[in-house]
Amino acid sequence: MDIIKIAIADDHPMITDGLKLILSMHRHVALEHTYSSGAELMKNIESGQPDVLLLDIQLSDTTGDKLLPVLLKKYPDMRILVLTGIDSALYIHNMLKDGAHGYVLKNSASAVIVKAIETVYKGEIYLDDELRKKLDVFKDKIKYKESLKPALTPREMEILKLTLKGYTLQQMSEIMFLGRRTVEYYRSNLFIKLDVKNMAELIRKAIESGIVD
Amino acid sequence: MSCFSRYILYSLFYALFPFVAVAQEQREHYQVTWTGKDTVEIRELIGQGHKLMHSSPDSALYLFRRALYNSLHTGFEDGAGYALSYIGFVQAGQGNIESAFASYSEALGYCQNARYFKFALPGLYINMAATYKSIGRYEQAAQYYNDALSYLQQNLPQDMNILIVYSNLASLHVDLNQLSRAMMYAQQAESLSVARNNLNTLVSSKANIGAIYTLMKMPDSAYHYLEDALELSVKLGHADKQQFILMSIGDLYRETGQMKKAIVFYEKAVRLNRYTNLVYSSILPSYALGDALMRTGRYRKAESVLLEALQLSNRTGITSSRTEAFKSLSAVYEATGRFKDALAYYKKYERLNDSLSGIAKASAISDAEIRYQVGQKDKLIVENNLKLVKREKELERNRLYTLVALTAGALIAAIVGILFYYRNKMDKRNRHMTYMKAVMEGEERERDRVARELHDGIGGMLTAMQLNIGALMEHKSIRPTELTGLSFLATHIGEEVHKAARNLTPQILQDHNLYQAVLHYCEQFEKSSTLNIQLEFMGEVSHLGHSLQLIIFRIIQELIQNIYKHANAGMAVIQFRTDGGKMYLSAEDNGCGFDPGTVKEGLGLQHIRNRIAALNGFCSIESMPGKGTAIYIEIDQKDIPN
Repeated sequence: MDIIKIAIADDHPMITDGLKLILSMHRHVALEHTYSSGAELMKNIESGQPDVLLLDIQLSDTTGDKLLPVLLKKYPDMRILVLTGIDSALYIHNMLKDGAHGYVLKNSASAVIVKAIETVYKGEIYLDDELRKKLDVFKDKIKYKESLKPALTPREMEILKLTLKGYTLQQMSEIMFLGRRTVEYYRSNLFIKLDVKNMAELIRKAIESGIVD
Repeated sequence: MSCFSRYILYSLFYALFPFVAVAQEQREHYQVTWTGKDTVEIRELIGQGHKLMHSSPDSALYLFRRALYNSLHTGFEDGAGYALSYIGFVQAGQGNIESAFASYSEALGYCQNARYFKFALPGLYINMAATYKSIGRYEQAAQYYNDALSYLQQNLPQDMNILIVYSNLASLHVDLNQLSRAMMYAQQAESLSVARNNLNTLVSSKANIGAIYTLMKMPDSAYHYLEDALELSVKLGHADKQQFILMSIGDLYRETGQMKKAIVFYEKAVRLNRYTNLVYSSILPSYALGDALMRTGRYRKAESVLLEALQLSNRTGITSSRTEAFKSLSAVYEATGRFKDALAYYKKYERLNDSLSGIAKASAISDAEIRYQVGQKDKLIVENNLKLVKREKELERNRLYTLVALTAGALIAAIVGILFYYRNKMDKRNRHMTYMKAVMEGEERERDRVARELHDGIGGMLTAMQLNIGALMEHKSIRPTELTGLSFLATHIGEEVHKAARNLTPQILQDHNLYQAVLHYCEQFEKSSTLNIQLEFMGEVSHLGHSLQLIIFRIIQELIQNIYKHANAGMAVIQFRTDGGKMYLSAEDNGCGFDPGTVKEGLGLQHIRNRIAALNGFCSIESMPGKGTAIYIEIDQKDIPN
């Protein structure tokens, strides 16, 4: 098996020391360089380019999400595994979208970290099942724009129903205990979310798309 | 993702203490007739019984009773206490809780006076704690584990049983849902097991770490540990550990939604051996199996498995994790249309769940820790200290009130001063608007300034300090060891300063935009609360400029905080729409609402109104009791005062 060359960018000596210890127990990986800041990383990586770079997000002088695209552009062969304490689907989404090859949490078991390194080295994407599931939920959440059924809030839904029954803005305002301007706002949201220009279209689309029953 | 309420780790019940050499001399005591030979015999009987506890509890009981008889016959009280503590333990394992406690209390008197079996007392504590835990009495369990731990640390620091106590404390903290503490104890047990080359405890601690990882929702790490543990337990041939690990792997699959695989492992666990400890052999895997069957729609099978397990639990008095079974059974009945039964079991579940709620357990255990970590002798001192601490806290609170009052006073004075200064210049409305905007901008500027000062100023000085220390180290007349500590400290302070600086300003807003920042905020917020936040952004945000985005970010933060604190809502929808320079922001929730006619708006809402007023925007807050609250905000960039 080839020896995988590793470098790590992390501003916490405790993390780098711990990782040194973990990786020293595995013969097929070699931790060659540690960088404690973004500046140090960018300055020195040229001379000792690793196979896999373990990149933290919160660095003392910059952030990993800023460095990622720059690094990938400059060193397209290098694999980047995000190793961070930030347990956030948004960050996972952003980092993978920007081209990171994997995302693993710092409190994972050492075997998981080693497995992640091996996986990204082979050219595959590493994300453990739980993070993957989190990411899927998150993607669903931000995908509303493309979805066929627009996400209407409960109040928008009620206003749509009352509109179909022929209520005026004033009547809706009284029934729903909402200000006139608030009702207008919600109805303008309906126009945008259903992508229609006028009332006739709004009513037709609402019935056709089955949003209201 | 569904949530499971059963948190169980493997408890090491079987504490067999190494036999210390008993003095051969015959002590003069008017009742005592025992000799060194008798103690050897008694030790052997107990040792044999201990081996049989796994496979044949009845034979073990017989051997322990013989040891008891011989001890009492020869007046060897140490042996009697030791035997009784195991008799109690086996009785508890067979579900005979009442007899178990009778044996324990008899044992206590003997063990406390033990002269030669120093290990008798902590052994008794461990067995008692395990029994208390199995019937759901967490406070007592914690007390006895802590008693055992402090006794062992003081008197027998090399003893293996320290390991057992660590494992069991991990298990207890899992029951209390204090996962990081549980992990700490489990890892302590693992590393000690490795250091002392004890495979027996290594299996259990690996299994426990795996189970805790499952609960922490880190399945890959969990699987790794459980697989290791299973392999090791098969090698050692311990059926009940294997059952526990199979069950944990089942749990892992269940947690990740792979019910069919989970069922396979639970069934394996149940089938393995019916004669081991009932907790692991029947009751717990059956609860889990029933739940998994229910979730895959096999209701009839689920019902029979659950009822059988509950019957066993009733018969034996082993009640741990029963809440889970009640809940699953209620779900089975609900799904099959038997609503009356469903309700009955749900009520049982709720009643038990309330009485065992995490908070109650946690406070019970920390009280216990305070009382017992220091040893019961020092109880009085501790209580006095507690009183002192309480009094100090009261004083501190009073000081805080004074400070708050003074600060508020100073602030009011400042506000009055500024208002007075501007009074002649502008009309009332404009004055207020400008003032609020200034306050807001001032706040942000201040945050920014503090962050920058921390980062550049203090951070820079710390770097300089480190350089100086480095230079000093090269100086011949100074010992470098002392300086190393100083240098380490400087580094540490530097890290803290950077962290504080980062927390003051939302970094992600600086790096990205409002949408990303709000997404991140909501994600982090949802993690620590039950509020589900739906977020809708329509239109561009990039043209709004950094400072305006920051203001909107703070308003959204305030809206969410407000819903969380007051609305008692399960869901909130935050919508932000831009149309050129016009911004529309709405927040609605499905919470309790309030009557705007009679209820005075709280500080949070006033704060929001003030912020909007400062931007010359429109804000309407509408609510009705039981109908939730809707807040609607309009801001036009061109109306914002300069």
